[in-house]
Amino acid sequence: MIVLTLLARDLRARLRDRSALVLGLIAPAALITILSLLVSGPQTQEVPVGLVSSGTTALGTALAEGPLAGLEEEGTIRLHRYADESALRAALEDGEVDAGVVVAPEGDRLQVLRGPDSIVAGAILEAVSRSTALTVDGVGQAVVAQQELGGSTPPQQLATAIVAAPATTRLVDATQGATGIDPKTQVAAGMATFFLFFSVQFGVLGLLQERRQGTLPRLLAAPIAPWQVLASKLLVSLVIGLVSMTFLALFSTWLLGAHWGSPAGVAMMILAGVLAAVATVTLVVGVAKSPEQAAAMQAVVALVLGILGGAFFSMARAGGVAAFASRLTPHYWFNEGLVRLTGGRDWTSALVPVTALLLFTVVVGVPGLLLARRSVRP
Amino acid sequence: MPEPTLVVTGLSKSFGDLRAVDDLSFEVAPGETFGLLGPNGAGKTTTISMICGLLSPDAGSVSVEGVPIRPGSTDGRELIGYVPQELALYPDLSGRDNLTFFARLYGLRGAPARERIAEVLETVGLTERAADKVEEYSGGMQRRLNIAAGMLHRPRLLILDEPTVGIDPQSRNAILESVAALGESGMSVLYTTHYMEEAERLCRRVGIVDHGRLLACGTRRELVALVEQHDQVVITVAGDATAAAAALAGEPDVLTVSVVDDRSVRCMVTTASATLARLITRLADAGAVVRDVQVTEPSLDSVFLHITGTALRD
Repeated sequence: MIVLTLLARDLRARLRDRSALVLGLIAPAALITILSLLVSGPQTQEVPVGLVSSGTTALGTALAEGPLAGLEEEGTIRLHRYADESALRAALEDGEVDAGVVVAPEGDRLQVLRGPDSIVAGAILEAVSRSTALTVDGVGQAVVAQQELGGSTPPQQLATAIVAAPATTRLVDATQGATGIDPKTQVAAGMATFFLFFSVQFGVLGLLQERRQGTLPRLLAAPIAPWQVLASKLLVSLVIGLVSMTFLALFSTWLLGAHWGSPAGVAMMILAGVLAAVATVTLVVGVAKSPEQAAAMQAVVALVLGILGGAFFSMARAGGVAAFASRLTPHYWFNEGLVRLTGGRDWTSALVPVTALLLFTVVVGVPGLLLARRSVRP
Repeated sequence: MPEPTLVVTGLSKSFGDLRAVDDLSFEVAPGETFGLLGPNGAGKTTTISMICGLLSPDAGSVSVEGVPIRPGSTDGRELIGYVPQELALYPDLSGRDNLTFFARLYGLRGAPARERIAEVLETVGLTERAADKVEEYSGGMQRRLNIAAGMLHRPRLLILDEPTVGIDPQSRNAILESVAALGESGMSVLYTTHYMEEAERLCRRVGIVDHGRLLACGTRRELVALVEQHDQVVITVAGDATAAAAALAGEPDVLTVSVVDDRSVRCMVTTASATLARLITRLADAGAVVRDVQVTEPSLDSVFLHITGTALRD
């Protein structure tokens, strides 16, 4: 009951001075909105690709009806057909297409043409064409081999059977977890965790403020155990953190179209992330001598952890020491948790990141609590 | 004899090489206002911190109404009301909200809390300003609210640690009146100060503390007797002061007689109230006309000076 009384007073004070509202809700929501608008500008567009094929050759048919049709259907390319190579070259020069492929009338040659600024599109088209050619070659070689061996199956029937036969080599998507989160969610989660490490300070920092304004001796002279005072401050941080993260998750989902993933998994991630943030600020308060010093230290810690953890850009991709350091931060594991939750995966897919966050909480929070206990004295 | 409200026995506390409190023992009776008088740095606040359970003593014990007070235990805390030397209020809350919060810490809620808050606001004269934020109060008003927060839960022992430091004379007077009223209401009060006049005005008994030690303890009369201080009577006559002095010399209870100037004599007597009438009669018999009489009882100032060898320093 006493803890709740202390908690209510502190929360009321935080609401009154609005600083927690600004740092926990308004500022991150504003930044998320702005950054979301930036990343949701021009989306990846279909790559215009040209094709010259008579349509009568096996290679031309395989290419047009196979991989190129598939890529067009999924919106990766937009296929333009041209009568001959010169028409395709003209289209390339005009920028009408980024790359193109010419199937020789005899069906025995493929020619890939690239636009001046379309190296990637050209390379992809070349890979797709090469792959198709290999498949067509394989069928042709099988037909020839069967004839040489005296087989009686008509070539067309044999080719159809070969194409229809199950593949002997399986291609397996070996990616652990999901394939990634969309830019809006990335921005929302990054900003939310970044500001989380600022907003949670308003609870535990209250210990030093109570000492500064002289109210701590009065609290400790009342029938209140020191642990109750400390617990109330930790709870204030926890509540502010949970409210901030939940609000930003809902805000970015409903208003900006972010996809955080399974609600149960996200709730688990938010709780673990907030606990890690509270542990961090507890350690800072345990070390600091004054509210000002604690606030300054927390700002530095939040900034360093945010940068290392990928709140702005991924340090993990940099490799080496930067990647290792990134994996030591709660921000990295929070983002990793969301990545694993994408694609409709359930909460169990986030267990590893949650465990990492809880481990961080224990490693940082236990010494933090021991040090912060020293602050609960007159 | 009723059980003392506060019993302090052999209390000691050191900070490194500094012996802040050294074997301090005293008692406060029910309804008594007891003063701890000493200069800054004498160990008063350290003593109070140990009495409130905020600080662990190196040795000794504290009990309030028989309940031992220990750091880490909340036993007996509700018996104590603590008014720290520094303001212990939330400046962003109103006076009433501050009191409501502190009342809840002691389990006082609802209508009883509202009634009690109204009472203490009236006692400290802040009813009119109860809805204003504390940060808008004057220093004296903040001090009075600080006291109100300490006595809100009707403690058996109210501890006031130098509650009048740094405020204007008018506010100080208001605070002293409030404290005097508390003493009259039957609450035991432990009052620390380095102002002699406050101790003399409020406290039935006074403990003189310096360098962490309780040098003397008792009523003013007992302390004066302890240091063999005497009442001083200065008599101004219409005639010759030397003749008047001669007339008074040798009177019973008159310890010394001296001439101050050509119209005044000074007598040191054991008890002025018992001797004064006889002195005036003796002068009249000797033909002297008494124009003026001034009686000065020994002050705690002179007692402090006698006991510590120094004047009370700030």
